[in-house]
Amino acid sequence: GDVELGEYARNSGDLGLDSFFKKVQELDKQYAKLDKLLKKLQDAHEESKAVTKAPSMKAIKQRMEKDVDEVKKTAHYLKTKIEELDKENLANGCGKGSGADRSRTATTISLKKKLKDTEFQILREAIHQEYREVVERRVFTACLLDN
Amino acid sequence: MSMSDSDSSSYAGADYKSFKQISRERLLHEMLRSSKTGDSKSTWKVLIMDKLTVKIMSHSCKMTDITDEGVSLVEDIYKRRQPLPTMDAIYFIQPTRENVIMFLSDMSGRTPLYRKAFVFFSSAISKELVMDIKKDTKVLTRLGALREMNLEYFPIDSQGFITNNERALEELFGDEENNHKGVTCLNVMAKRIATVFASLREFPSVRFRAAKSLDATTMTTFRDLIPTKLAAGVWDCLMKYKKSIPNFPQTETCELLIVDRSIDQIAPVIHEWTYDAMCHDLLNMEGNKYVHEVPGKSGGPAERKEVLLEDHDPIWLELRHAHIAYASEQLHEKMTNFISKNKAAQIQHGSKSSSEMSTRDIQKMVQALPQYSEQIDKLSLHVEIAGKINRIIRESGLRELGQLEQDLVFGDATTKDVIKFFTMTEDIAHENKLRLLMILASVCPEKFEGEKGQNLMRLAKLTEEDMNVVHNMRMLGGQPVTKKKLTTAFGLKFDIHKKKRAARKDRPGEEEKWQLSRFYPIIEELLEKLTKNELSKEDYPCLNDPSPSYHGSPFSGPVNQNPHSMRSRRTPTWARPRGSEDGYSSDSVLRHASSDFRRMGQRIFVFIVGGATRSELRVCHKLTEKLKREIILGSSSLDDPAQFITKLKMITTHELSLDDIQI
Repeated sequence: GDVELGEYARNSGDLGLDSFFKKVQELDKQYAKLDKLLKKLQDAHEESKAVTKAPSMKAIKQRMEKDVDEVKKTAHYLKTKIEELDKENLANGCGKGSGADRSRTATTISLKKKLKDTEFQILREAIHQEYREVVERRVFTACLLDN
Repeated sequence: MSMSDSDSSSYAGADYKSFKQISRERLLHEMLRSSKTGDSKSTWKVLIMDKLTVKIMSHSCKMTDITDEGVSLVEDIYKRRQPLPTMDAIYFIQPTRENVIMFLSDMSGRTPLYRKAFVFFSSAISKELVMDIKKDTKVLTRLGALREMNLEYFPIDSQGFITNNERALEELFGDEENNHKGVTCLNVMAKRIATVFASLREFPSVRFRAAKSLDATTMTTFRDLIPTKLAAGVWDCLMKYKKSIPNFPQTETCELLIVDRSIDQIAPVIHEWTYDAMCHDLLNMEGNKYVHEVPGKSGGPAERKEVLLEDHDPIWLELRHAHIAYASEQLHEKMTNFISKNKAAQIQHGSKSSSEMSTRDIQKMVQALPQYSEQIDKLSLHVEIAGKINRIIRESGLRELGQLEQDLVFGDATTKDVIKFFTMTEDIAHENKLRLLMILASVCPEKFEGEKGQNLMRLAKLTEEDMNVVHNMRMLGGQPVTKKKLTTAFGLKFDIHKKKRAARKDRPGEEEKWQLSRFYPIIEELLEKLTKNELSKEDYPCLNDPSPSYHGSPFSGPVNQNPHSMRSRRTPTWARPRGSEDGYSSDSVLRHASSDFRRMGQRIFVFIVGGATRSELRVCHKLTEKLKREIILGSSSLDDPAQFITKLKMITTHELSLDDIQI
């Protein structure tokens, strides 16, 4: 029975759907990575509030910059891949309204929604970063005046 | 930032979950999330449902919730479906023979539609159907689960559910010649009510309205026995659960009160002046959906936009049970507060010139922008809705009508006042005349007998069909002919003394904060008596008097937490209402709800056969706070006045034809 089932699966249009879900699985891993990075940034942000020494602040800043770059890269990758899925869905041979077609659509929409939520977090983090730089510049200026 | 995760974590920390939350989690977690096989390559699944289970699911979850649990495809069991043999399937179906046949044809044979099937029946399945499934050895190997989900009700509110028996009023209170539809309707209703208790793992003490005409001279009518029969049906199901459901309580943990529409014929038609009720009564809403026009982008034509007035909207959640006047006030105050606090709103409304904006201000604006657009949309929506309602109230003279309605109910007005109102007032909406007469017919039924009644209805220029509605109200009255004579005599005595004929008594303890808020549905009175153990055993007998351990059981909550004196009651610190300032945050609302529930006593369920009203739902929320027990309202349906009137028209009676003969 298993052999027959396997053969049946290979012969059906389901093969495309199977590869579709493999790609989705890969994207889910990237999402997990993104969540981890954002958590690190959040922690670093909290840490920076308690720090007063310049060398420590500098170290945190460097880590955050690195993580922000990684976040941007990952998010961009995800966006590109989701757009590819969209095109692939359109080109897909399955009839509109068929089970496979609706399955692809629902899953892709779910991924887009996730990205939308994440994008806002990224924007917020970037603004925090920018704000921190402004404060730094002002402190530096004040020090010069004192000297 | 999405609040959904923190919402969930907020609930996860609470030890007490609301009725709606439990239903939702059972569907999403118990059914969808847990349906996995260890060797599953793909975690994505197909969900197959029938017409009823689709409705059940959509009452609790959205498509995104379902997708988040790994379901990428939702299918109708009766439509032709594409084979997806590498995917697992979840079946959530009613335990009917047709459904089982469809399922077997899907999964049997050499080429099944899906790889593995996880089957959940919405209620109890018969043994013979289980045997049919077990006969097929190929299907057995492909089964991942075969369970009774026991969830066959529709949560419509955090504290309300319906059984979707939309024709209950017609089938149960109509023609007595044929009880078959009525019996079937009751059986379905009982089964679905029982699944509520299965889902919540609660075992109720069951009380019901007793049949009134129990003397030998009068034959008991079917409709008189509706609560009795329903209580017995529910009880049968509960006894089975005791044996079949693991962890189902063996002693009573809550209370269930079963009544029908005959207890209160006024609540369904009187104007209820809360925001929620006004929306559904005056605006042409479709379910909870409100359609409004928003200005098009960059000056284009207006677009029609649909919004749902439901629990996810924190403003709606806060204001829906408030008097319309209070709601209007609050909305104005919220808008004022919002503009003064939100950075983007300040800039938008020109509180600063653009040249003065610093980098810091720009950053704050950018941060606040998403919140701004979301919140201003919601606030604007509600301001528009409230404005529309107030306009309709003015244009249709609803305040005068409402005053007369309430005066009739409290005995401060009589038939003469109604006649005067009809002759003096121009342009009364047709439906409002009918509703006013229905209230009068409920308070003074003898006024509508014979020629007098006919004249009264002709004065109001009612159609034959509408007169039928008024006549049919007797079917809900539950009074046999013999008692009518007694009532007439009784009435005559009172007429001599010129005493008030009142369907309600004024309550000294309750202050009337707003105009036209005197009215209360009978269910409020019944529930208060129930919690004080003052509900008459004769009028509302109990199927299972609590066992001796009931009161002393350490595992059940306190039976009666009510204060001794209603008038001198002090509000505990934790129960004082929080400032509405944080009303914008749904997380704040949910935390509030969650913390409140932690101190709840035992639940009370009240089920109304033949349709419930929004005023009754409001009362359950009100008393939940007052009595510190979660009160859950169930019914065959939730009806707006127009819907109730339509259903009343459908009732056919032989008594009516007898009246025709007399005429």
